Amino acid sequence: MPSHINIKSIRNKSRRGKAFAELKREKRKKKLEESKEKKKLAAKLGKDAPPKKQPHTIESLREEDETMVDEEDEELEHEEANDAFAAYFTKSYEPKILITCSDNPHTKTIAFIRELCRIIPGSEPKWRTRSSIKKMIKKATDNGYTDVLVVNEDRRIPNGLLVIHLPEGPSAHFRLSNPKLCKEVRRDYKEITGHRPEVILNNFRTRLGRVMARMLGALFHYDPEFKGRRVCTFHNQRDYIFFRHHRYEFKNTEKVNLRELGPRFTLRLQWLQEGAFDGDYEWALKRHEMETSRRRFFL
Amino acid sequence: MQSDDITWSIINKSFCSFKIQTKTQKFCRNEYNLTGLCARSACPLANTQYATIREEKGIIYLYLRTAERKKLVPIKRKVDLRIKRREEKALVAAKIDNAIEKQLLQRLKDGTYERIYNFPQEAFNVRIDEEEEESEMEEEGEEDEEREEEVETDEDVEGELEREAVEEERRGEMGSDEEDDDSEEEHEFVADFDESDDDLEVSITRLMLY
Repeated sequence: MPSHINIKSIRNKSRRGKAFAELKREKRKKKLEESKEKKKLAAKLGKDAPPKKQPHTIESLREEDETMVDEEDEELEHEEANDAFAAYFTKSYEPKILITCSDNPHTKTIAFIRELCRIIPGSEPKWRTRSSIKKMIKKATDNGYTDVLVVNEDRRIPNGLLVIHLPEGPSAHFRLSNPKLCKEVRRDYKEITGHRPEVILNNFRTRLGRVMARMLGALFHYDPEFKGRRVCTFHNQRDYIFFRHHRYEFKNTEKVNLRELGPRFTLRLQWLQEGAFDGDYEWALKRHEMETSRRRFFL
Repeated sequence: MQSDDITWSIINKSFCSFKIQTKTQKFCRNEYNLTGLCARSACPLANTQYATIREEKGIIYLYLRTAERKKLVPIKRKVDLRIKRREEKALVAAKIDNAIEKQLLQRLKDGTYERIYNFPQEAFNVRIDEEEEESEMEEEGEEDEEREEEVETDEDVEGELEREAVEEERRGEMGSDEEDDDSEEEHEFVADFDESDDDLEVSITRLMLY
């Protein structure tokens, strides 16, 4: 059988083509035979057969982050018992949230805020009225708000989300992409009931990811009303945080039906700051330094 | 030039920071304005070709206007597209619905919804275990009957729950707005998950009517 390199050196085009086709056929034949043998072996051995090979994915090949943590980690538990959100997780306060936007918002942003208010219990929309964020934070703290959300818009579409935890931070800025209103997923926003929703925080694995998860989780009331069967999900995959909003129904212990209520959007962390919109940056996305590998993730 | 037209239409009709309106005339405060009047021909902003002569410390200069922003600011197109593409791929890899279902079922298993959902199968298993401890003889027919009963009761409970939810919603809406589409909403809410079945029924009834 001529090898691949020899084929390259054939100078007659039609002969070269034929030889290459031959080589390809041989290869395919070999592959088929191998897979047949494997199947035979599996049928023969039954349970003892060698396990099937799993294809590699970006997730399985992910570069291990130093700060990746397991669920039960003493150091982590201690840290989380003393961070800014500890008060929320010990249920000592009910979240009260101020939702605002950049100046002069347009239709889509306004609708987006309206739906956010519908989703997050205990939230209030306010016009920005050209106020600076720092002044706004001061006033919000005085008025007993626990978090501030600022939706930024560009070209009439929401494109950024600033989450500030009061009174002492941290604050995070997300790039917001693919915002889909209820209407765009063919639902009526009035279908969202007033029940307090459950929250699912999926796949946040590093230290930073845990902080993010706690921050997003702390926007919602800690005591969900299961009667409403509403569930809000923040799912992290490759540093993109997907938000989805569903109503569910258990059919039996193995099956649950979901109905999306909308809206949906995707967040991507840009920076995390220690204080309430001032202080040091704990983390910031620096593309040239950080995005060196496609398999390196931070959340 | 077309951009000149646009600029002038903005300056003339809406706003220009150099423009000063007096009772008789409009003036221009732009230092490069040739005449000091606000007019199309004298406007240094609305004319791409414009020149002024000015004196500075005894030297006379000719100021020629050059085109602004000859180089366009580059859009980070490549990076933006990459972020977008990666988002799409991450979304596919995420299999969000599966993840949510898994999480919800896990919560059900852990007993988060203990008081609300009481599935017939579970209750059935528990009861079977209890009865097996007492006496190991059991007839199949009775078992089936029991199961059916339990299914019914549980459905009733769920139905009540739904009705309650609907009522609450209704009450909420009565307070705020639109009472007209109440009936519609109710229908939607109840028919929620098994739309297909309902549609079938509707179509069948229609057929009967025609």
